[in-house]
Amino acid sequence: MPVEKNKNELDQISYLLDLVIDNLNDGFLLISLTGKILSVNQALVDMGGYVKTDLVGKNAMKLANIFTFKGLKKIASSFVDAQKGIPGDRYTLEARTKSGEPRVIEVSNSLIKKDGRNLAIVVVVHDVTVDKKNQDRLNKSEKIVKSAEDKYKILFNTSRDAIMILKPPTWEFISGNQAAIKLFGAKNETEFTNLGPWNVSPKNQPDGSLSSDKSKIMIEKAIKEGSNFFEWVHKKINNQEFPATVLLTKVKIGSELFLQATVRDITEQKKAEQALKEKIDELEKLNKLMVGRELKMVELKEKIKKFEANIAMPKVKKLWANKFQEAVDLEDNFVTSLGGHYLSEIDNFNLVILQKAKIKKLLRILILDSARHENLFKELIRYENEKR
Amino acid sequence: MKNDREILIKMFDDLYLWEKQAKDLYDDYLKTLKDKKEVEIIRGIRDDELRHMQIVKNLHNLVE
Repeated sequence: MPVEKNKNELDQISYLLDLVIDNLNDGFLLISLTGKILSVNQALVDMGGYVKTDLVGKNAMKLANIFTFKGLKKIASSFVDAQKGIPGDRYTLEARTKSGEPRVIEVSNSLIKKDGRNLAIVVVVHDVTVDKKNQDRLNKSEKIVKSAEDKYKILFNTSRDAIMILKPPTWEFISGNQAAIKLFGAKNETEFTNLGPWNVSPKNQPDGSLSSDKSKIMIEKAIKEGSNFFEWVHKKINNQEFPATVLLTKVKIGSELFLQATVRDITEQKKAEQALKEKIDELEKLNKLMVGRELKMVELKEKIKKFEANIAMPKVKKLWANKFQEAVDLEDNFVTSLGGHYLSEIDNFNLVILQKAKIKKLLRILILDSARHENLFKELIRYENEKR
Repeated sequence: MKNDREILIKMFDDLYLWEKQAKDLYDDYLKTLKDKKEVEIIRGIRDDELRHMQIVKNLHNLVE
């Protein structure tokens, strides 16, 4: 039974083809030349949440529950083209699933011919909804990036701090905001970007190191650690130097590495710090003097008390005591303590040099006289002892 | 500076007091001493103290 055998084989092939078509990832429709849906595969019904009977036997151009009017019009137009054998481009349609969920599908039509006769139209449907979501996500990301870029541009251009971008490997300025242009005294950004960090730094930094050497160390540190904040002496185009703080921040744009430098002129801050330091020094000096003077005053008061006590002593007792020892102590105190203290402290006062010199000269006379007096009183003590 | 001047003036006032106390002490010695040699030496010292008081006054005036 060769004919039967052939029929069985054909049935088997047909069955296999149906399986292949059902297992395609893309939706598949076979449509008659009149627009009637002859067959659909499983992928298509899965795509739309339909069952085959929802579609098979229906006119593809009347599926208003699935496609919009605009979509149906496009289907009809492409269908006519397909009937004419005009190869159509793939086109995208918005469709709805059975549950009403919007989908985006990509459609392509092909005409099937046999012996010069048009038989049917094969429609392949590809669900691109997921891709569209990704595209939407991508567009959203791009919008966020653009928005961030716009915000950065606004910050960059309106910042009161001087901001500049340095590009490796030479670390020249490739961009600078208005504050940077103004800070360094450039006419415009073009003039500014013709400069390198070495053009806006003096030869040496305050610690004596070469600016060129030290700047490399600072850049390396910023690259290694992500950022680096330090004080730096810069100079303007007119060579005027000024103290500044610099914040170097590593910035990656795409795959390229840059450094953003934020420079702040701290001249006024330094002046205020210096004024504060001078004030503290002055207060410390004053405090030292006051403490020294207070100690001397205590000593002096003790001496006065002693003198008063001596004056109050009966004559006989006073004569019995070695009266000149007090004078020796008094003069010695002046030579070794009070006079010397005054002499050393004069340098700490804000006086003109001539004034200081004159005061010191007169204080030395007092000290020398006191030393002489001390010796004379010591002689008198010996003389008194000898008399006894 | 005002603070410096005030401190110096106070310092010299203290110094003047110191010298005056010394002069007063030596005046006191002179009231009781009989020995001519002692009187002569202490008078000289006391006169020095008077001169010192004048010097300190001058210092005061110099910075005032």
